[in-house]
Amino acid sequence: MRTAMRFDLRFDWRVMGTAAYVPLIVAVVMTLFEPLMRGSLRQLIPALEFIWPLFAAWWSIFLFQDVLEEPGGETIFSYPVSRFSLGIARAAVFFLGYAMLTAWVVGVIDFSLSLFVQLLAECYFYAGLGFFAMTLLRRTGWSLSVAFCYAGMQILTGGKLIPLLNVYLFNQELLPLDLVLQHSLPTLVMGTVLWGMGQWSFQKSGAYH
Amino acid sequence: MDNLIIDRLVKKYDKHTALNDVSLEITPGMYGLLGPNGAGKTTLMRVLTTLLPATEGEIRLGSVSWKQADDVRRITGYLPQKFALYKHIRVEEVLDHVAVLKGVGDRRREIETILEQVNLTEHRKKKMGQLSGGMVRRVGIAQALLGDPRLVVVDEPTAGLDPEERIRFRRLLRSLGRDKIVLISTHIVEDIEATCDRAAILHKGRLVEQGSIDRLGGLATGKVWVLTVPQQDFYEVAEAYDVIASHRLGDRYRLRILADTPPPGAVCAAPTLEDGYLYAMRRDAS
Repeated sequence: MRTAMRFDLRFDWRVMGTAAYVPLIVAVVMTLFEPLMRGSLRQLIPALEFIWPLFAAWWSIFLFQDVLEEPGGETIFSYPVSRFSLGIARAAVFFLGYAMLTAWVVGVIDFSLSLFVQLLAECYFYAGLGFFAMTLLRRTGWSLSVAFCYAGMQILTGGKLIPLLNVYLFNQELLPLDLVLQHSLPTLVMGTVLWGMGQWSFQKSGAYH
Repeated sequence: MDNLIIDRLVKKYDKHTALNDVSLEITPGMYGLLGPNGAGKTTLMRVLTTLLPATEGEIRLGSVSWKQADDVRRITGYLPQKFALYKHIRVEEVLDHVAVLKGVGDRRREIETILEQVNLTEHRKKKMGQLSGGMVRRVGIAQALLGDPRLVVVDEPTAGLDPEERIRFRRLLRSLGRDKIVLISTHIVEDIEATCDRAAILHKGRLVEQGSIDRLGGLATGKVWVLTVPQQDFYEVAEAYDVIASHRLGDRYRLRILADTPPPGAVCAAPTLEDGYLYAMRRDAS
C-alpha cells in the first residue's frame, strides 16, 4: 500500500500564526501604491517587481517552521503520509494561493496579462528558493536571509552580479507578452530546479533534533 | 498478538557503526531499552519508526516487514525525546491534525477517548505553549496512540520532568502495555523498573544483555555490597572500590559497592535493576 497524500491546509495556516498574514498585508500595501504613485507604471512596475515576488518565499519558508525547525518535528515523518505531500505538494498549494493573490494585485493596479506572467514567473522562482533554503538550512531566519540577500544583490547590481541567475526584467513599462514569456523561461527553469532540489532535500532530511 | 522480531540489525553512518548486529524478540507489553548516551538507543528507535533506514538486518511484526516503510507507519506510534511542536495551537486541534495525517476514521470519538486516557480532557482547549512539561509529554503520548498502533515507541519518556510528573507519566505508560508492544528507551533505570516487564541493555551499539527485569538485576547477585563508613573515610573507600551509590546517615555514609570480593566489613545486598545494569556495563567495558 502506498503512503497517502493528506492535507490539512486550515491547520497549516493556523500553525504559521501571524506570519501567515504577512503576504496578505504586502498585497494590500502593493495595491495602495497605485493611488500613491498616481498610476505611474514607470514607478509601479519596478516597485512591484522588487517587492512582490520576494514575498512568494514567505509561505514556502514558514510552512515548514514546525516540521523542520522545532524539536519533535521528526514525529510528523513517522506518520503514514508521504513526504511528497508533506513537502512540495503543500508548498505548491500555498504557491497557488500566492498566484491568486498576484492576479488580484495585478488586477487592482493595471490589468495586464504580461505583467501577471512576469510576476508569476518571478514568484515561482522565489517560492522555490524559499522552499529549497528552508529544507536545506532548517531555519526560518537563515532562509529569509537567503531570499532577501539574493533580491538585494540582484536589484542593487541591476542583475549584473550573477547575470545567469538573474530573474528580474527591470522594465519600467508593460512589455509584450511574447517578450515576457521569452525572458521568463529561464526563470521558470531555475524555479523548477529549486523546487526539485527543495523536495530532494526534504526527502533526504534525516538530521533530526 | 505477534512479537516484534529484530534480526541482526546494523546501522552505519559512514564509518561509524551506531548499531552492531542487534537481535531482539520483543513480546507484547512494556519493554525497556537501557543504555548510556551514545549507546544507540535513539538510532534504534528511529530505525523502528522508519525515520532511518537500517543498513543491514531485518525487522518484522507479524506479517509487516520493515522493508515496507509505508505499512510500518500505519502500525507504529512514536514519541521522540523532544516534542515541542505547535506552541500556539490548542491541544485538541493538534490531535485533530495528527488524526487527519494518520487517516483516522472517527476522529472526534478517538480524540475524546485518548484525551480521557491521558487525562487531558479538561486541558483540551489550552494552547500547547501553556502546558507543563508533563502535560506536553502526555499530548505526545496521545498523538502516538492515535490510529491505535500495534507498536508504540517512546524515547526518554521522563527527561526534563519534575519528580511528581515523572511518577504520573510512568503510571500512564504502564497502562498502555495491555494490548500493545510499548518500547521505552531511556538511560534512567527507574523508568524501566517502574514500567517494564522486560528490558535490553545496549552499549556502544551492541546488545549487552536482555531478559526480565529480575534476571537483569540478578546479573549482579553476589557482587553488590553495603558498607557503612564514617564521614572521614568516605573518599578513601570511594577511591579503593566502585561505589555506585551513597546515602548520608548523620555523620556516616552508607555506601553501595560493586565488587567481586566483599570489602572488609561489608554486607552482601540484594541487587536491583540498576546494580545489574551497572554490572553489565562494567563487564562490557572491561
